[in-house]
Parts: sequence; C-alpha cells; structure tokens
Amino acid sequence: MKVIGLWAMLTIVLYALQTSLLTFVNFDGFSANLLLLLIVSVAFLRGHKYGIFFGFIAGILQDLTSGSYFGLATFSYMTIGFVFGKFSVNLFREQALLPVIGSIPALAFHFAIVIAFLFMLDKQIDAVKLWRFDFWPTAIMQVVLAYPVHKIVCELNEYAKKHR
Amino acid sequence: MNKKLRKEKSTDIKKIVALIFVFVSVFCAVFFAARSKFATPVTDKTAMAIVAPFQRAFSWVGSQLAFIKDTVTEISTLHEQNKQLREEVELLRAQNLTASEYASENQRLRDLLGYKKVAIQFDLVAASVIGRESATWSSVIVINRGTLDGVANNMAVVTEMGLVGHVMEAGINSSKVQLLLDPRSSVGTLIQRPESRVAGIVEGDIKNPNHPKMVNIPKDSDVKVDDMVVTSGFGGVYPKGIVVGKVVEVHNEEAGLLKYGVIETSVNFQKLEDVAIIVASREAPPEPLQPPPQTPGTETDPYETAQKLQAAQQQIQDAQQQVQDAQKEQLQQAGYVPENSPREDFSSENREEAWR
Repeated sequence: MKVIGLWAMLTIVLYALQTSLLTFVNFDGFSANLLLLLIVSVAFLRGHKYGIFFGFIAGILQDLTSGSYFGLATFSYMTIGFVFGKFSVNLFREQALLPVIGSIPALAFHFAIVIAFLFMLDKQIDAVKLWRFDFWPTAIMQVVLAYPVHKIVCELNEYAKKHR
Repeated sequence: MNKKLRKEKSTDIKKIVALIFVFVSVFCAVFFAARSKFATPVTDKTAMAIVAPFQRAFSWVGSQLAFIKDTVTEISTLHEQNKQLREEVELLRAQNLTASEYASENQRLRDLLGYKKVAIQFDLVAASVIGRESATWSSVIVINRGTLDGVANNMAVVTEMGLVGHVMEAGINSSKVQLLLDPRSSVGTLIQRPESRVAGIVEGDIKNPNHPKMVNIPKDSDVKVDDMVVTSGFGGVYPKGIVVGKVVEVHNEEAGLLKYGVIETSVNFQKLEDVAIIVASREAPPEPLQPPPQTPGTETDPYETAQKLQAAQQQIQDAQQQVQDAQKEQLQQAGYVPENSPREDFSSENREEAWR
C-alpha cells in the first residue's frame, strides 16, 4: 500500500511540476513532459504491462486536469508504455542511458499520435511547423530531464522490490 | 500440466482482450469527448483537487525562481542598461536641441511670414543667414539666396523688425548683404513723427559699431530722443517707410551747424538668422479711411451724424427762405415793392438795394 502511495505521489508530483514549474521554461508553449519520461522509464524497467498501466494512470490524470481532448493523453501514454515495454525485453534494463535515448522517440511517438488524432478530429494543425520548430526544443528538454526522472524511478523501483 | 498451460493461455487471452477493450474504449472516448458527448465532471474535479495543491506549491516556487532569475538578470544587465540609458539621454538631448532649434526657426519664419502678409507693397524672398563677417570696419552677412532666386545688387534686406541692409554682391545662389551697421553704408531716413519729418542719413559708426548715427540734421530741427527713424525712400535703394530704429541720443556736431542722433536699430543684428529680400516694391495702396477714435461712452455713428447735419442745414435753408418771404410780404404791404413783381432773389445785395 505504501509503495502504491509512493508511485501515486511520484506521478502527481511529476505532473504538478510539469504543469507549473516547468512551464516557466517553455518554447512556443511547449515544455518538458515528465509523465512521458516516467512512463518510458517504468516501461523499460518493468515491462509493457506496467508501461500500459502507468500510461493509463498518468494519461487519465492529465486528461482529467488539463482540459484537453479527454482520452488523447491516455491513449498516447498507454501506447508508448506498451511499445517501450515490449522493446525493453530485448534490452539491458539497468542501462542508465536507455531512457535518455528513448525519450526522443517517445516524444516523437507522442507527437505523432496527437497529430494523428487531431487530423482525425478534423482540427487544423501545422504539422510541419510543429516538427521543425517545436519538437526539437522540447526533445532537448526531455533529454536533459530524462536521467533525473529515470534515477528517481529506479530508486522507487528498488524500494518497491524490497518491500514487495 | 496441460490444464495449467491451457489456464495460463486462457488468462493471457483474457488480458489481451481486456487490453484491446481498454485501447478501443479510450480511442472512442477521445472522439466522444471531442464532440462533447462524453464528460466526467466529478472525476475532473476530484483529480484537480488532488493535483491543485502540488501545482500551487510548484507554481509559487516557479514564480519565486522567476523573480530571482529576473532580479539576477536585471542586476547583471544594470551596467549595460545604464550605459544604454546614458546613450539614450545623449541622443534625446541632441534631439531636444534640434527640436528647440526647429521651434525657434519656426517662430522666426512665422514672424517673417506675418511681416510678408502685412507688407503687401513688397515682394519678399525669404533667406537664411549662412555666413557672417563682422569687424569694426565692416559688417557683412552672407545669405543663401542669389540671382537664381531673383536677388540682385542693391536690393533692400529686411526682417519683420525693420531694415537690415542691402545686397552688395549677388552671387548665383548666395549673396553678400551689407548691414546697416557697416561704416560704408548710408541710408536716407526721416524722423517718423508727423510734426518733425526731419530728413537725415543713417550711416555706420566705426567707433560705435552697434549704434549707427543719423547725420546731416540741422541744429535747429525737431529731433528728440525716442523718435522713430524710417527710410525716406531717397536714393532709390531702400523703399520708403521701413523702420530703421529709434533715436537714443542727440549730439551737436563739432562744427556747430549740424547735429546727429545715435540710433538704436530695431533689428538685433546679433541674433540675425532669417531675413527677407525686397525683390520688388510698389506704392502701398491707400488705407481705407477710418473714423477718428471716440471717447468711450459717447460713441456716435458717423454716418448718422452726417445725415443729421445735412438735415439741419436743410432746415436752416428753409427757415432763411421763410424769413425772406415774410420780409417781402411786409415790404409789399408797406408799398415798397409792387405786389405782382416777379419773385426776386433776396440775397444780401438785392436786399440792400431794395431798402435803398
């Protein structure tokens, strides 16, 4: 129960950080996505099942509080949790650089899903501009923050293993 | 063993189905939510209530950090900002100076324009002073108008205040103007006061460069301090009636037959920047006759007064006629004049003759 509470607390704190403190460092309205880093780290460390689960919880939290299209973040995070969890089977899970490197394709995946959904919802969006001017600054912020997030997730994972 | 494997397989299939169900549900939820057919207000509020305190705390931290960052940035840029502000102040001062200069020029040109409107008998060409040569022995300025602008030698140069001098050498696009103060200059002048109208010549005084002298004034002539001096029009260079200055001192010549007046020029030659050249002059049209000023409270209409005067004269004439007729009747009654004699004119001569 305590472990679940710590995971929940971590998720909420990361989301709160993402939507408050990190918005001071934004590029064209885009700032780092800590929930995405959390999902990628969890998916790499604990596989696709946990990836999907954390994707669902984090996505629901974001969808409920952000006021964006409900389910969009949930679907995207679940998919990313599933995909990166599946990939983790063939990789050495304890490698620290893994989530740092994985943060860029994860963000690309997230952008692609969001653009696809917006396209399906018939919403006009300048996808080219988004990829050229908004993706790379956000990706840099993701890379910078990926390691600290991964380190916290690793510590909590170790703690959870000990108190299972 | 086989049963266990089958059970695991069945559990996996259930999980996959559940997963697919969740994915499809979420996928559909996006479209329903986008069309406002799906809402979770209670859950929304709960989630927001959970996240909000953390957001508030981080937001406060963020704003504090932003404040610190701004302060540090401000301090680090203070020196540079100070330097930029100094440069800006320099620039603004320069601009202010230029603006003041333009304002001053504007005022001068307005005054000159006002004079041009008043002096309708003159065709004026405005010019700016672009050079100045001033020594005890000469006072010459250079203006930015020349023959291309219609300027020629010996044309009078004025300002709205009065006479400046005359063009001594007209170039193509600039001209030299000999000032009134130049010792070589001589201007035919008059005392403006109607009772005086004494003529004289104003010429530059080498001993007193800022105050020319009005010479050739007979000793017994009526020239007083504060008399205004205007051009007389004699000589043909300067048109008549341009203000030269006023008499500030009157002295007797050493020889004893003549006297001279020291003139304070109406033009301030130290601040001469814009002038006008009289390129043509003609007789000023007579001003319309104005009724004389009347004492306040006793004003009368001059036309009405003239009509009343005419009526009164007519009444006097009628009365005189009546008197004459009465006298004639009396004479007739006395037998001096026949009754049927033709009507005579009882002028004073005829009347005397009649009495005789």
